[in-house]
Amino acid sequence: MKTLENRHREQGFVLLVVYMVVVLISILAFVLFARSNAFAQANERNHNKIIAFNMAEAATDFALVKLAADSNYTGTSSYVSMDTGSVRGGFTVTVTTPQDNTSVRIIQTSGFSPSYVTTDRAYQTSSITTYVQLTSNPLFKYAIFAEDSIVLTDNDKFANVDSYDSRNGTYGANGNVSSDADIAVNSTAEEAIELEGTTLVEGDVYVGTGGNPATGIEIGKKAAITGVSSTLSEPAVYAAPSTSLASQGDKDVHGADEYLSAGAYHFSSLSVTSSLILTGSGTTTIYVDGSVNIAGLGIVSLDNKPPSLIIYVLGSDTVKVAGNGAFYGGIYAPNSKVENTGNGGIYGCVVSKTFDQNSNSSLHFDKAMADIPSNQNSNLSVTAWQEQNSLTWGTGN
Amino acid sequence: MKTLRKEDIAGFTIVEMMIVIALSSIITFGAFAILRVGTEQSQLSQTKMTLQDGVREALYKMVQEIRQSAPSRVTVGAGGNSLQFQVPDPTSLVNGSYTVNWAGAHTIQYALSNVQLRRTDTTTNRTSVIANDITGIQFSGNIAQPTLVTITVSAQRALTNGRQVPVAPLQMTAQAEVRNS
Repeated sequence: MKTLENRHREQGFVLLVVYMVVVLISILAFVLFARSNAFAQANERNHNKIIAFNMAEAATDFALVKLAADSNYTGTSSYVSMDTGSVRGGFTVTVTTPQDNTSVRIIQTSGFSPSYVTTDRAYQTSSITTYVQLTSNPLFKYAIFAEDSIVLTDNDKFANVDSYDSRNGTYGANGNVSSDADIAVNSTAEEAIELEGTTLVEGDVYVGTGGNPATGIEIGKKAAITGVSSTLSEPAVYAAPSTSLASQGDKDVHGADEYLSAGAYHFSSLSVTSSLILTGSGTTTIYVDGSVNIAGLGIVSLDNKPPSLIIYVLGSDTVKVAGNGAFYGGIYAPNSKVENTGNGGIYGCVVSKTFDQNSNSSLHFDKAMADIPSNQNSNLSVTAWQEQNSLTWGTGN
Repeated sequence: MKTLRKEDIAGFTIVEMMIVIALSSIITFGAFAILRVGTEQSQLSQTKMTLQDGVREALYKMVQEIRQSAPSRVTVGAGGNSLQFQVPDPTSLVNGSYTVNWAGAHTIQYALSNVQLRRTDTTTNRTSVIANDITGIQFSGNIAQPTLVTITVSAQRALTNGRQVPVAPLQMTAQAEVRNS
């Protein structure tokens, strides 16, 4: 005989069926969700893989720009984040120089997405190796370069500018004097270059890109040039010099002569009214923060080879070359006014902001200076490129 | 104890049973029909996604490898259905002067065989499958931009019921820019 209690037990069967249906639907939903999630993760990995590659490419471009400005660039010290909006990633760069070819740089870049943390979700990385050939621009190209203006001599004074090659002997020896002493400014202003008195420039004269040589170059009645008057095909770029050497303070040479052996020095200022004698073989490089004043017999080198002495002026203070002693060397002062008023003259070349040669002085451009490479503004050409990958795709199966 | 009366324990009539069976059948049939449609749609979606992933991966691999080549070392086959190019050996990328060591390069060919996109390293004579269900491939160069190679891949898969997915072949295009010279 069925009781009410039995009927209640029969209703439990419906509940069981409902539970089973719910469980089945849940399993189905879970499977569908898991599959969708797998596809979403695959898409995220693909997305990140492309970002990682582009980060590595961006890092290569970054390194090329850095190398163009500084051939001694060695890479990033740590991970560089490039997160922007929904794109997350970054890169690292390492630049090395092979021992057997110092004009080659090996750039190794790694791109990461979403970051360099390998445990990040959908982490991807890509690595690129690029070989670059470096062709350094010369540190000096012109006898005189000034960013803004060049003024050569006052009335009835001469300020000759010519050229020679110290590799073929001293100035005037072996007939090595020539007419390759080009002078140039970046400025396109009127009378950016003024040649007065009996000045003779034995070379070409250039005003800035887009300028007008007819108005940019003022040649006095008694002045002359042997070359052409023209415009620069592109602006000349002379980066501000820098050094990691610690400054040794002011260098004042007055009264007794002083000696300086070949090497690199960093002074706050340089003032010579007697003689600073360079000794030893090799190049002497002097970095000066402030003013430079060379008078008396000036800086005396034993071989009188201009490439053996280069003065870099880090700031914008004036550089004066006066006195009776000749100056043999290069002056790299792209932010300074340079005055050449001594009777001895300059044997070498000058890079300046403004150049003023206003007495019976002269400048003899040494063509050997044009072979001194610059660490800056190098020309780069990519000689080989390779993307590293975990697949043996290059020659693989 | 409360007892049930006789009419309380009476069974179902035949008519009631028939109605219940008929309704149950309709509900079951409907449920299966809905489930079948859902399964088919799911299968379609999955097939499309699988095709897309396969084609995308194939394009990625091809572009990745073509990038290693140089403009003068890429040849598009007749009709644009195949591509032959050289890639430097990754274990010997540069020579003594730090330029690409083309002397040790391998020659790679991409071509379609039935519905398989195949890669053959003709230097080692090894072949591998890059992607399946490929119905067409087109390679093209550009004289104005010789560093660019354009690849268009079409894919379609036949289900067990004979239905083609997608109805029109899925088409994806990618460009590879060769980096070496």
